[in-house]
Formats: sequence, structure tokens, C-alpha cells
Amino acid sequence: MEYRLLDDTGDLGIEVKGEDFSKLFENLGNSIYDIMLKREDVFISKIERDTLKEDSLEDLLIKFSNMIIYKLECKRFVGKIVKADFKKSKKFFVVDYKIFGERFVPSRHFIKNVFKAATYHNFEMVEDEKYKKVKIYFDL
Amino acid sequence: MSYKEFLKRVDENKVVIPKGSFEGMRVDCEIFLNREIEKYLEEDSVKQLVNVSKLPGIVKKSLAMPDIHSGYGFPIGGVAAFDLKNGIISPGGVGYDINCGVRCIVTDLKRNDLKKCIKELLTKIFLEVPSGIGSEGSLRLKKNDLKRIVLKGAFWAVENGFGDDRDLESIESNGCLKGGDFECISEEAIERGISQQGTLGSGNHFLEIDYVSEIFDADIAKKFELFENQIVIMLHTGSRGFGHQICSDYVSLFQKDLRKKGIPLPDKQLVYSYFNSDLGRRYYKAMAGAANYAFCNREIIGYMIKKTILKFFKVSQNDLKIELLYDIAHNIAKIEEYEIDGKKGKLIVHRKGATRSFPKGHPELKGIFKETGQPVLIPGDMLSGGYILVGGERSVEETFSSTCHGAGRTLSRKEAVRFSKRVNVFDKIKESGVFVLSQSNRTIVEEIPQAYKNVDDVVKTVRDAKLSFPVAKLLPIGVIKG
Repeated sequence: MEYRLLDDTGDLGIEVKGEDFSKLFENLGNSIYDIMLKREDVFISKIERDTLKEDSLEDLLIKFSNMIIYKLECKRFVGKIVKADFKKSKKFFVVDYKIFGERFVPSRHFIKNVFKAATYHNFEMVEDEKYKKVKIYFDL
Repeated sequence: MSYKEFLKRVDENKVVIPKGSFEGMRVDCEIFLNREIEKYLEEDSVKQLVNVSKLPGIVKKSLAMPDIHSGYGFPIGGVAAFDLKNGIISPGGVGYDINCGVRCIVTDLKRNDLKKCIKELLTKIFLEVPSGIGSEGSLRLKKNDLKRIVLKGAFWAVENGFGDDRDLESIESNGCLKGGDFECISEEAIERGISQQGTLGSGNHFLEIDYVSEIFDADIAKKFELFENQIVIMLHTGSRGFGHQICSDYVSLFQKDLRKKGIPLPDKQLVYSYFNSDLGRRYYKAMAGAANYAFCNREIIGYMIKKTILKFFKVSQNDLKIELLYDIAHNIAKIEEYEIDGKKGKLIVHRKGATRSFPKGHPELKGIFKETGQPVLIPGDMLSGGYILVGGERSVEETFSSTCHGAGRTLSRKEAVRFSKRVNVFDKIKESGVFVLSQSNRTIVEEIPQAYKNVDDVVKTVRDAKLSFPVAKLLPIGVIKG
């Protein structure tokens, strides 16, 4: 998967890339799960799906990342595979997502890193012909 | 040219960047830092401090304590006060874990009493106080309970039998920040908060069983009923997912608002709104609600600890003293009164990784603390222990009554993991004799002592700068990491 970890004194950042925005959202979701837990321990017995929209791409990427944290804390849901479909309307940036996973079982799902919030700290978004790239830092 | 190159040392404990060094600075920047710990100062945290000095309505100076390190928007260890009429409020000046703070519980147990049973006792506490990722408490709260916690803070715990009413005057702001408003809090925050009351959480949160290893001020120690080899318990936690969600929600709302108004930011995390604006007021009310959630959380955990210890020793509370010494916040924004240019006025004081340090005689202090000054609780790393201090008079004029909050990180979590591959951390812990429990070995590795500054150097700076004065040193014998 196309991501790398970034150093920060307090917390942890990730740099993720994708060949288009849909792929970028998918890779972002999958990399958060990859850093958060051992994805091989997650079975697929449930699908979480929804649509998120924001008036900036930056806000949408942060909201999407925070949604994953919220799902673990409140819905006790962990994902194995994230699928995303990105659209841009006149006013909004929109992502439809599906997360394939299951209910979080503390004795079976080994949590490697606890994410508490996605932040705007040193947020960076770069686009070129080949890739869309984003850097997001997380409060741990 | 780097930001650090603009620093001028004005005395042994303070460096300054004068107003005018960078465009847009409204006030000087001051960092309380002695020469020993100056080497740890990061370029990024100085830049953040300069950014804070540019915010509208900032009063006197942009300050940092000796445990300064890079944060989100404000540096950790940052203190800034803003005019209530023309100044701003910023979630970056409070932090994600709103009212993260420390509680110190004193007992009349002695170090020897736990010599043979520390592992057993700590394990019992570990089982009773939920910790780790998204940990859920045994309390089953209803939405209406949460609404009352937002309004009443630690008082909710007391009125529901999870605390003692004598505790309230030993908690900063009596355990309740006025103005907490449920209407200003999102459904997501409510969902995250409803199951997490009475939980420690994860990351750098901890519960420590310490003993008093040294007394520095015998008179005050006597008034606090502290003595050498006495067992005390330090607890470090905050408003859990509730506070994080409130911070995330308002950072996003402030971003949109500033973008709409076309106001540029030097740092996207340094969002703000004028305190007198609708959005500013709403954030304050939500933040006060999260602060109250945290006061209540620490009161409930304190109650769980007391209950577990009494049960463990099969005694009643009349036979064994387990009492709250003090409970303080170190991530908060509060309305306080100060004299500026000869006139008294109210300011909104942001303390982000900084502790309030009211000296003796301060009108807000009650009981014994009016004679001694407010206890300041400073944890160090998990093997080096921490300090109990009291507020110093000089803090009022120098730092808006603030002092340090801990040792301050020097290594990132990733670097700490890398470092621990070279040194066997678990062997080192074993050698130290400190019994450590955690839901995750990863947390222990990330929180190794080498990841932090030496807390002794940090405390030496605030002592020499007369911001607060050491009363006792604590050393750990058992630690629960979140």
C-alpha cells in the first residue's frame, strides 16, 4: 500500500498517495487501518457505508479520517478494506465510502496505534499528473 | 534565518524574542528555559510561539514554559491571555484533550506497606479502572446524565455517590467551569463521551503509585500532611473522546469561518474566533462542558481507586486515609482577572500543556491552600517520578499565574520505538524495580524515559524563576500506562 510514516515530536503523520482522488481516499482509509491494527486479524462480516461532503477537499480528507476513529470508538467497528468513490459537485466535495470489516473484539484485534483525531497540523495536498498526495498528522 | 536565532537570553531562566523580530508580532515571546534544557528547544515550537504572538487581542506576551515542545497551533507548554472584548479564543490554545490534568491522592500508607503487595494491588486497580483504546467504563450513563456532567463537572460525581463533597474545594475551579452548555456539543461528541466516563484512556495517560522520596518545604508538606516514604497516587487523564470530538468539531467550524472571511493563517491548526462572536462563545461553552467532563472523570476514577484499595486491605475509610490533595487542569482556557497597565480586567487565559500556579492569598483558593498556595502537580517519565509544588507569587505578573506541566517530550513516538530497539526497555524497567502494567507494550515503548526531558531540570527552571516552588519529590513503585 502506498503510504509512509512521518515523524512528529508528539504524534504521528502519514503520507498517502493515489492515482486519482477515489484511490487517494481508499488508500488513506486502508493505511489508517494498517497503522492502527493488524488488518490480517480482521474478518469481513459487516459493511459500513455512507456519504460525506464538505466545501473543501482538505476538510473532507480530515472528516473522512475522523470518521474511521469515530467508528472504532463509538460503533466498535474495525475495517479490513476501504472502497471510496469521489465526486465534485458545483458546491461540494463528496465521497461515498464502503468499509468491509467487523465488530471490534479487543481480545482478537491487536491495536498497534491509537488514533484520537486527525488534525490540520502541517496538512499538505499535492497533485501532479501521476498522483494525488496528502500528508495528515494524527493526535495519538 | 531560523526562529531560534532571534532568541535573546535575558537571565538564567528566560529567553525572549522581542516584538518586531517578525512581521505581525503584537507582543514579545518569552520562554522560561535554563541553559541545561535549552538544547532541547525545537525550531518548530519557537515558530509556533511567534505565531501565537500575532493573534488578535493578545495581552503582554506569548509565553512558554520549560517543558515546551511542538504542538498543534500553540506549542505544548504555551500560555497566552487575550482581551475579552477584542481578543480571540483558540482551540489550538487548549488542545484536543480538553482539561487533560493531574490528580494527586494522598494516603497514610507507607512504602514498606506495599513492598510485598504492589503487584497484586496494582493489578486490582488495573482491572477496576478501564484503560486502553476506546475503553468503556462500567458506568451506564444516559444522555441526561451527560448533560448534567457538562453543567456540573465533579459535582455530578459527588451527588451520584462517586466522590466526596470535601473533594470539591481541592479541585481547580471546584471541579466545575461555569458556562458548560450541552446545546453547543455535537451528537458525535455525545456518542463518544457517553461510554467513557470513569476511564483512563491511552497514550500518555497513566495512574502511578508513588512514594514521597524527598521533602523540600517541611512547613507546607506538614500542612499537606505529606511525609517521607508516604504512598501517594498520581492520576493523569482528561476528557477522553468527548473532548477530542469537541476540539475536532470546532477546529473544522473555525476553519470554514476564517476561510469565508478570507483571513489567512500562519498555521492551519491555529484557528480562532473572537471571544465575543457567536462561534467563539459556542466554543467556550462546549470547551467548558468538556472540562467539566474531565473533572468528573478524574473524580470518579479517584473514587474507584479508593474503593479498590480499601477492599484490597479489607479496611473501612475510617481505618485508612485515602484523600484528594489536589486536582489540576493543564489543557484549558479560563476567564481570570489580572491587572494590566494599572487596571483590573478579565482575560481569557489559554494554558496548553501548562498548569495554573496561584500563590498563597489568591482569592480563588480555599481552605489550607489560601495559606500555602495552590498545589502544582508535575509528573515526569514513568521511572523518574514527579513533583508536588506550590504556586509562586511571581507567576501572577510573569506568566498569568502559570507554570510547567511535566517533563516535555524530546523524542517522537517513532524515535522512541526506534531507540527502544537498541536498549531493552523491559529489562531496564525490571532493573528499576518499578512494576509497570499496560494494555499495550507499544505504549510502554513509546513512553520510555529517554523520550522525555529530565523533569528535575524543568522543575529547577520554574523554581529559580519563582513561578512555583517544590514541596516534595515523588518516585514511582507501580505504574499503569493507558
